[in-house]
Amino acid sequence: MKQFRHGDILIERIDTLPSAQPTENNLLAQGEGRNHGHYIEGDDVEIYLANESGTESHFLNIKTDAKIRHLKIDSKNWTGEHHDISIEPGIYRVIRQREFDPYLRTIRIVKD
Amino acid sequence: MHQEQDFYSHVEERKPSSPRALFDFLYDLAELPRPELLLFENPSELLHQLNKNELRSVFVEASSVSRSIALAVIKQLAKPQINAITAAFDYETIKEKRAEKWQLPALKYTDGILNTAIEHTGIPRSAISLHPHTDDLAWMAFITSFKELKINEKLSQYFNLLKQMPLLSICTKTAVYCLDWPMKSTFNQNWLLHHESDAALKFTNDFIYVWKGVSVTSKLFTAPNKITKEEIISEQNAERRRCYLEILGAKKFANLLELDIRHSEIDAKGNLQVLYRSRDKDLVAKEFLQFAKVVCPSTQREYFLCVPAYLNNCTEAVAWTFGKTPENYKPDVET
Repeated sequence: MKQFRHGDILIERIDTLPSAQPTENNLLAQGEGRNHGHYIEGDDVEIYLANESGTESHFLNIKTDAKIRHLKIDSKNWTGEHHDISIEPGIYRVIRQREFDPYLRTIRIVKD
Repeated sequence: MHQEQDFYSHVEERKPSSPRALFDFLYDLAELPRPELLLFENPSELLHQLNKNELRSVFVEASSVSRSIALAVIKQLAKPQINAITAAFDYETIKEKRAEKWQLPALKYTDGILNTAIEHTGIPRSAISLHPHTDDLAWMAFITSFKELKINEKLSQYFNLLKQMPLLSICTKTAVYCLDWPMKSTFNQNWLLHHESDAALKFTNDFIYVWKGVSVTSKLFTAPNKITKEEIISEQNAERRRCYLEILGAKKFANLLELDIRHSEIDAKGNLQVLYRSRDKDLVAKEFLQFAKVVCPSTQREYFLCVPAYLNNCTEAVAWTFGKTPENYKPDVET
C-alpha cells in the first residue's frame, strides 16, 4: 500500500473507510511552539475523524489529486519545511508519529 | 572566548514605545470612548495585572472590541488603499511585492517575537488585538512599497503612529493592556529567534530563552549541569527535546541519560540513525530505557524518541513510531 511520510505524519492508502465523523477542518496535525501544521488541500477531499483507542485519527477520501502541505497556522504560508506531497485519489489513513512513555507505560503522540 | 558575532546574526534593539496617540486614533476610528492605557515592560507584569481582573471576561470582551476596531480599519483605511493598488497594478506585480515585502516582517515580528511572547504568557490568540498587530508592519511594508501611489491621509497617519506600537495589546471597552517590545531581540541567519548563550528576548527584568525559534527553559543556559534525566524524558514536545539534544550536545545528552549505542545504520536518505539503550534498568520504569535518534528527512533536525525496550534495531524503532513493523513501513515519498 502507498505510504507518504510528511515529517511526523504518515499517510497510508487503505481499502475501505472506517466508521468516522466528517469534518471541514483540513488541519491534520498541529505542531507546537512554531505555529505550523500539516494540511490536506484539494478540490474534492472528504476528511473524517475517528476515535481509535482513545486517539483521534484522520481518514481522507481523496477524489481528485490533492496535496499534503506544511503551512503556518496564522498566514497559511509554506513554512519552508517539508515540501508538498501530491496524493492521488483514494482512501487514506493519517498516522501520527508516536513515542513510548516508560514511566506511565503509555504511548503518546509526538508533538513538534 | 567567542566573539558575539559567532553566536548570532541579527540583533534588534528598541526603546520603550509610546502608544497613547495610536490607541486614541484607533478607538476614535471605531467610535469607541478613548481607553485607559496600561503599558507593561515585561510579560510577568502584564500577566500579574491581568490575573487581578476577571481574566475570562477580559479576554471575551477583548475579542469583541478587536473585531470592532478591525472592521473600522478595513473599511476606512485598508480597503480604499487596496482598491487603489488593484486598479493601478497587475496581479503579478502585486503578488511579487507581497512575497518580497511581507515575508520578513511577518517572520521576525509575528512568527518570532509575538508568537513566542504569546506562548510564554499563555494569553489566547483571540484576545490579542488585530490592530495594532505585528502583522500591520508587514502590511505597511507592502502598501508603502507602491511608491508611485499616494497613500491616503488617514492611512498615512496610522502608519506613522505604528512606529509607537507595543508588541501586543488586549483592547477592552475601557482599557488597553499592552506588552511593550523586548529591549533586545536576537535572531539567527534564518531570522528565527535564537541565541546560543543568552536569552534571545530580553524584556526589562524578564528574559525568554529561545533556540532556533523554539522557547526553552532558562536552566539549559543558566544551569545546564543541573538538567536531569527526568526533565528530558518528561518534556513531551519533540522540538523542545531536540533543543536539549542540540544545546547539551549528543554525547552529554546520552551520558546524562546513561545511554549506550545498541544499533546504528544509515537510513534511505543517507542519514545516521542510532538506537540507544540505557546502561542499566531505570529504577522508576523498572526496565531499560531506549531511544531512537532519527533525522527529519526535510529539515535534517535530529530527534530523540523514546521507544519500547523490546525493539532490537533502528528500522524496527522507526517503524514502531508509526505503529508499523519493518515489513509494513515502506514510505514511497519522505519529506
